[in-house]
Parts: sequence; structure tokens; C-alpha cells
Amino acid sequence: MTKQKNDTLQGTLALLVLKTLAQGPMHGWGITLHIQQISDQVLRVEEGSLYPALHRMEQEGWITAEWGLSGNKRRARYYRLTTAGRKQLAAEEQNWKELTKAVARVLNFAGGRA
Amino acid sequence: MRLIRRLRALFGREKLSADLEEELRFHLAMREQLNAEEGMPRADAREDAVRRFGNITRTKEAMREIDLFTFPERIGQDIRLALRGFRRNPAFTVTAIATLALGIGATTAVFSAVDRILFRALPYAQADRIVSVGLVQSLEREEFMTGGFYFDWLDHQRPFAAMASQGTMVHPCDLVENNPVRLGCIPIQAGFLPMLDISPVLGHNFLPFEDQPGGPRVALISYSLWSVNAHRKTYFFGLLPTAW
Repeated sequence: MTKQKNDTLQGTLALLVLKTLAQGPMHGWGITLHIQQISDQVLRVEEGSLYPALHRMEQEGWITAEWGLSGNKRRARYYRLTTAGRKQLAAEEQNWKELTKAVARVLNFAGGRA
Repeated sequence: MRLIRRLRALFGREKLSADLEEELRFHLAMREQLNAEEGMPRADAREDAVRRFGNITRTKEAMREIDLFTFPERIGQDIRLALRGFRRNPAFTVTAIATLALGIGATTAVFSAVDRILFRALPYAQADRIVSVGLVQSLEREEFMTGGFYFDWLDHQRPFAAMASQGTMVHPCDLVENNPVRLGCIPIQAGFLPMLDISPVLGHNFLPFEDQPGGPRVALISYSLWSVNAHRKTYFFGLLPTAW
């Protein structure tokens, strides 16, 4: 059960990361800040869990990483979306929409009965 | 391309770990700095950064696991993909397989046969000076010699440092005793082995008096026959060929 939850969370995190990187290359810290700010602090995962997710996505070929200089002149690892990553983002966004629509329908139905 | 990336991740473990170390340090430093800018005391800013990050060791382990576990699974996928590709494009498949088969076949042939025959020296002293002499004619391409001519040659030849002969036939000469073995015996002259600079490990080569009509019927056995029958002190042969 916990595993299931974790998997869903991983998938969601991947979607959020891909969406964030769609705006341009970004380092891990930047992705963390972006997701937290945009989601109004609601989506707060352990910050460390972002890095395995990034690594897995790199292995899948959805993103590539290279070292660059951050705004304050520190070396940072910048992630960039690949073409495969863009396709994956489109597919996952579609999945997500269908999933939430289905869940919403179930919730509304149950709500109507209660 | 994906395979290369995965191999690099799997085997370039140290590089990964140094990169990861630096990346995580950067993240913690940035969080600490943000906390400090928001007015948190320095010690708290650091502690909060570490707390928010979660278990660093577990993060590193998770990344290593990704490399270890995705690898075999992906290899399987790559193989299946390749096989499907083969099926879709039979012409390419046949060409590729034929190329591999020829390559492997030719290499095997060179190393198992041609290498011995063409490239390696004969296992005899002065192999470059050994020749086989005899008569040839249109029906029998392999040189041969008849006894009378041969002894004329042997007595009067000058070009060669040594000359010796062996019989043309392999005679059955069975090892009798408790465990009989069928062997092949080749008659040779006493000078044959010395000509090739071969001397027996045990015992002695044929002596001049043994190499004469009506001489004793004696045999030399090969090293391999001796080594599998090393416990035998004496060997009894049946049907040892008569002197020729």
C-alpha cells in the first residue's frame, strides 16, 4: 500500500518536474522552489526525494544535466528537457487530466448518494 | 545512446557520487541562505535545511538503486526491441548474421588449422631444412620410394646432412595384456628420430643392430601412451610388424 502511494507520488513528481523544466533549464534547487511557490506550499515533498527522481528521468532520457553557474556564481547542475522529455510531458499531462477527471466523477457520484 | 548513458551511470559510480555530493551541498547551502535571508538564526537555518531535505544517505542509496535495478530490466527491453527490428527487416538480419558467421568461421579456421599449417614452425629442429624426397608420377602425387632405390640414395647422397625413412603404412600392433589397446605402429629407420633431433624421454632410440633385417622386434611408444599407462613396467605387443 505504501509502495503504491510512493509510486503515484513519484509519477506526480516527474510530471511536475517536466512541467517546470518546460519553461527552461533549471537546477534542482530551482525546481524545488518553483514547485513549492506555484503550488502555494501545498506540495511539499522531502526535498531530497527530488534528486532520485531527477536521476531516474535522466536515465529515461527525458532530461539531460550539465554543470553551469547559478545566479550567485556557484556551480550548479542544470537540467534541461529533451525531445523525449517533451513527449513524455504531453503524455503525462493527458494521463493526469484523465485520472483527475475520473476521480472527480467518482467523488461527485459518491457525494450525491451520501 | 541510452545504453551508453546507463553504462556510464553504472560504472562511473565515483563520478556520479562526486557530482551528487556537490549537487546536494548546493541545494542545502541555498536553502540555508534563504532561511537566513528570512531572518532565521544561522544554526537554525542550517538545521532547517537538513530537516527539509530528509535522509541524505537514503537519497544517495536510492540513486544507486536506480542504476542497479533499471539496468538489467532495460537491457532486456533493448534486446526485445532489437529482435523486433530483426524481424521487421529480414534482409538486414540475414546480412548481419552472415557477416558474423563468416567472420567467426574464418577466425576459427585460421586459429585451429591454418595457423598450425602455415604460420607455426614445425616442432622439429631446423624445420626450415627438412624436406621430403621421393618419386612422383601422374597416378601417385605423394612422393614414394622403393627399397632398392632408397638404399642407393642413402649410400651416395651428398646434399643432405641426414636422411632417414619411415614406412608408408600404419600397421595394427595391439597392446595385449590385461587392458588391450589397439595401436597403430609405423616402421621407421633408426636414424629417423635423431634426424629430427628427437630423443626418447625414457630408454633409448633404436640401436644400429636393431635396424637390420632379422633384428629384434622392438618399439618406441609415444609419450601419451606412456603417460596413461605409466604403471606398466613392460609392454607386450601382439602382431608387431616384421622388419621391412
